[in-house]
Amino acid sequence: MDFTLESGDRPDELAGQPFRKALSDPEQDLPPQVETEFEKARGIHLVEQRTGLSRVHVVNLAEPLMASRLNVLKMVAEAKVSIDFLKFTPDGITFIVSDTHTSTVEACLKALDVEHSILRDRSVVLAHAANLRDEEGLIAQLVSEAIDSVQEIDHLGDMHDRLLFVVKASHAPELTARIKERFMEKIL
Amino acid sequence: MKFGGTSVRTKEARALAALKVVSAKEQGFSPVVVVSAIGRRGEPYATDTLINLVREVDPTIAPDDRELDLIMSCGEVLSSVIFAQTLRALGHPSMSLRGGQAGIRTDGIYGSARILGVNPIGVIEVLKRGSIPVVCGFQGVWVQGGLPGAELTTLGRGGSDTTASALGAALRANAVEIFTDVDGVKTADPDFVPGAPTLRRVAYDEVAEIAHLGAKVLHPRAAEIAMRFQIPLWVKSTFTDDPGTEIVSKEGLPPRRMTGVSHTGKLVYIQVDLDDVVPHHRKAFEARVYEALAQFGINLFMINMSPDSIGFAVSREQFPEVQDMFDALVLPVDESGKTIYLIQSGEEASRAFSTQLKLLSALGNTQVIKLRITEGCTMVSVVGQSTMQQPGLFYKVLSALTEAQIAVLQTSDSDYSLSCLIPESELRRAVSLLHSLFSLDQAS
Repeated sequence: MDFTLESGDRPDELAGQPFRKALSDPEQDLPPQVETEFEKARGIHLVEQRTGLSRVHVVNLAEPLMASRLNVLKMVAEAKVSIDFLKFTPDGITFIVSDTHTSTVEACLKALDVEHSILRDRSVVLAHAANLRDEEGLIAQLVSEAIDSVQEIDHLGDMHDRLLFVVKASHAPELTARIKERFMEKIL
Repeated sequence: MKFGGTSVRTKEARALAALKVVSAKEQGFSPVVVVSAIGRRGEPYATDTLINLVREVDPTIAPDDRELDLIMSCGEVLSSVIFAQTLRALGHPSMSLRGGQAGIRTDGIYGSARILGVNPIGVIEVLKRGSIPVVCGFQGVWVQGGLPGAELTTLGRGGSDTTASALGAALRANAVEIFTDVDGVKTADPDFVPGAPTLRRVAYDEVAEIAHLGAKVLHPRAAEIAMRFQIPLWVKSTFTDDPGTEIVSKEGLPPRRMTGVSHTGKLVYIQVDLDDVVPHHRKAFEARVYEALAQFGINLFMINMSPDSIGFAVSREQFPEVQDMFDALVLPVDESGKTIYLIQSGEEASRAFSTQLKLLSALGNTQVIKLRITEGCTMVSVVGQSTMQQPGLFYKVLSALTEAQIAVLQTSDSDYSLSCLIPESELRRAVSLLHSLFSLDQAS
């Protein structure tokens, strides 16, 4: 064999350069360039905000608890309201709805006569990371940092590629800035 | 064309796989092959077997990650050489290439390196010589490793799928074909739903979601790379001529109902009730709990927080470490020092906890916070392309599971999925039930 192509055996500047520079025959119909950042970098690569949300917290539901939870969800479903980020709490549920549907949900909860609280004017701050759940301790680190940085986190949720914090709308820019400052510079 | 462990496991399987390659060549394509290590867990050249060779030297001394990467990569080297020889035996010149020789450049995280760039001049050179390149999957090189030559790295779980997708993207391939032992992406694990149909066309995001949530047919990193570079991706069987599943951009698909049901993980659910934490200490208490988890590098799932509790799931593998970490942990959250929070992490108080409690009692009010631990959990998910925003979806899923007396401990959701934490003992029933609930036997 008269060639060696192990990346470490050739000048590093070759990596990431257009193919045409690396090949002897520039007229070949070959891919035009090599992509750098082929996969998303580790850690947080994007932080964004979405506004116009309310957090609904239903508490002290009667036993059997699951049946009571389902009653609430059924009523909300029948009112044609889509909910997000549903979480079970020890005696109830919390979820997020669009501000435009908050009054409808409130009417449902009053009709069911269940104890509840609604926090309006909330925003969700989304921290995006590829394979977030596989990054050792990253979710816990983000949550710890977020709790320390804003007055109150109203709701939390995780997906494989995102962690979301629901906070008062006026606190969202501060939280966004804090996450960017603490985590986005850590990308390897 | 990527061939997984079962596709290169035996001489017969390799012959079938090689014939697929020859057929592609005869149709006028220039096939580039990526192979996994031969066989599966427990078999002589499988990755786990190679790791054990090192671990068995002295089980009390953990091998270095760098050394593990070197030995793990041997499985793919063996496989590529044997596959290239199989192609030569069929009359087709072939040459095996290591990941670095194929131009796969990664970051320096041994065991789970990410691809930074691909410069496939080696692959192109082999093609120009009229040979079929057979590339070792799962491996790349870290160029800035510090030693002469590049440091070999491995790409972690699903690494060979990722290699195939990345090479396909770099080469602007007509398609990337992932050959395995099933005939495509199914609506559920066929071990749980024997009649689960094979999806003929799915969107990149759907398959990435279903793979993230446990489907093993394709690694999500491979789908994400293919999506980013818009390379058509196929999942096919090595052992049949079934057309398989084509994975494309969602713009090319009609709006879809549900895609499938997937499941993942052996999990432990941990809840911390905050009733016994003084209200103005709660924020600091929560922050320190998560800080401790972060310091131990614990990965969390299904995280939740309400005014009266926090909760999260951890993998069963990490649970002993979590339990050890929490046992007798003192959380210094009261600046006045009047209240000391001490965590009990098991049903029974450990010796460490009892000793700590006795010592702390002399200092002030010690408040014991007992974790509520539910072992034996798993996550079942329904995945869909555009149905997740429909009102009533949570009710539909949760009422069906509750009616079947399957306990749901927690939920999480995304744009494409809704997941429920359930007892592992109910997994089979839950998958089957949700598959029927959304009429996925009719999916295509």
